[in-house]
Amino acid sequence: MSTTAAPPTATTGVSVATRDVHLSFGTNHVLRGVTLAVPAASTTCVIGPSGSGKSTLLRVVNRLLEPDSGDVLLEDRSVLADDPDQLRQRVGMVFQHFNLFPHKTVRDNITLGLTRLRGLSKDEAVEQALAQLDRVGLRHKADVRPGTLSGGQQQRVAIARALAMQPQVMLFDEATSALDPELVKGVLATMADLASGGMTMLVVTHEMGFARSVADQVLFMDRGVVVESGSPDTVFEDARSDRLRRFLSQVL
Amino acid sequence: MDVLSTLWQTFFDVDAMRTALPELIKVGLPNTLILALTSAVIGTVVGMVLAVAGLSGSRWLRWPARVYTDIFRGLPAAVTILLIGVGLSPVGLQIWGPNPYPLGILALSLIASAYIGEIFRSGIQSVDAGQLEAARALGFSRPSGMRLVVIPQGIRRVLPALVNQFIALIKESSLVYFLGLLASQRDLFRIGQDAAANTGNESALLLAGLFYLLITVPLTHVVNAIDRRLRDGRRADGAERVEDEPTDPAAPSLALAQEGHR
Repeated sequence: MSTTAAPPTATTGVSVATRDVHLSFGTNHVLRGVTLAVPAASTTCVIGPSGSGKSTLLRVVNRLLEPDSGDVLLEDRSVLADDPDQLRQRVGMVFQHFNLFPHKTVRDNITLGLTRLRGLSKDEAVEQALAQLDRVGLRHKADVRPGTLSGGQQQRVAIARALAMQPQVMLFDEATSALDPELVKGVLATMADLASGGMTMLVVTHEMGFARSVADQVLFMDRGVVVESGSPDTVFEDARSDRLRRFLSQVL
Repeated sequence: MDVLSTLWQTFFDVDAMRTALPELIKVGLPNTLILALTSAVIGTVVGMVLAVAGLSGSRWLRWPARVYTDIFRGLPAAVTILLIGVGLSPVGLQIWGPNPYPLGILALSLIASAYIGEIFRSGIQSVDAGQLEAARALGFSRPSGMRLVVIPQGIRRVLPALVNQFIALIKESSLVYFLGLLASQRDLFRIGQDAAANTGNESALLLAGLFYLLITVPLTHVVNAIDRRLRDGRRADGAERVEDEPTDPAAPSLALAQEGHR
């Protein structure tokens, strides 16, 4: 995979944080006071059982969901009063099921936001799209529709689509969970490249190996709260709570 | 044998057909096409407005769309056409003069838009919630995401149903004869029916029926072709074809929860 080429439009990541975030769906109290801090250009992995609120937390960070209370900060400044559409241009997101636009070609998936939101000309947008596809090794697939690609390729296109908007933070929501095992590696390698390139990343993942080797910080969430956090070594080797020990014994 | 020859004369009187043919081609066919095409265009535009209103977060848009749809989908076409075409004729006379077409087209459009609105709505709703979520995650507002990403996919999925609706519209256009047509305003059905009444046999009407089939049967094949194309696109090897979202058993429950929570 040709993911080592320097990105043409590298953006240095900025710090992201949440403070005491609460969110309920009806009577279901999904987030119960989540506080986290991801330093600029670092990677934080969020692990935990399903239903623990990890994916909801990601969606609060880019305000696809609005918190009931608490705060979300980029570069130490609250973003809750900002225009959410503007905020989301600064915060890229990659989904479990890719969510590429099936009626558009790979290239048009990427240029859509560039021409419509960034105001790039068609030519500039295509150039930028191809550069991002180079970065994930899929330039030769620019003209096909996403449905003809493997899951791993689709996810790499989704990453390219998010990166084309030149985000300052990237959110990954179980980006490899829907992939066949043999395709996981390529996507994780792309993510690791991105992390080492200075992006700020908040990664919800079940890939403990990735968390251990790439993350600067690991958060363990359960039932809407961060139960433990620390360096990968601390969290994986030195779990203090029963809940984390039980979780690790199930997934490792 | 006598009965058989009478039946033959009733349906396949070539002379009667030949007499009616010029009028069917020169008057009936254009009129039927004008009625059907105009109401198809208006019905599609209004139908899209209804679909978007029906999916709106605001009850003040949703509710009127619901009532409109229930009324014009629930009434017999003949009732709607008479109520509009005859009931509003004093108004129509003021605006368009003694021409029943505008009101006839209005009535046909009202009926068509109710069905087409439901077709569009189901298509839009069938698009995975992750599509709008992905568009918004890129920075698109909800309306832009709907317009650029969700609605185009929704329309694609319901093209076959839409064409079926156009076929129904072509057939229903014959009902404008209720409104009283001048000789030059008659559509395919009316010309066939008049000729049948004059000659005492149904051959001209049968010929008019053939004209309808000439329009509708190719359209049904268009539907099938579109359907096949969409199906091909769904396969991974259907290169360069229209794709649909892979059906996804674990649809993002969060996005759904979010919709419900809005």
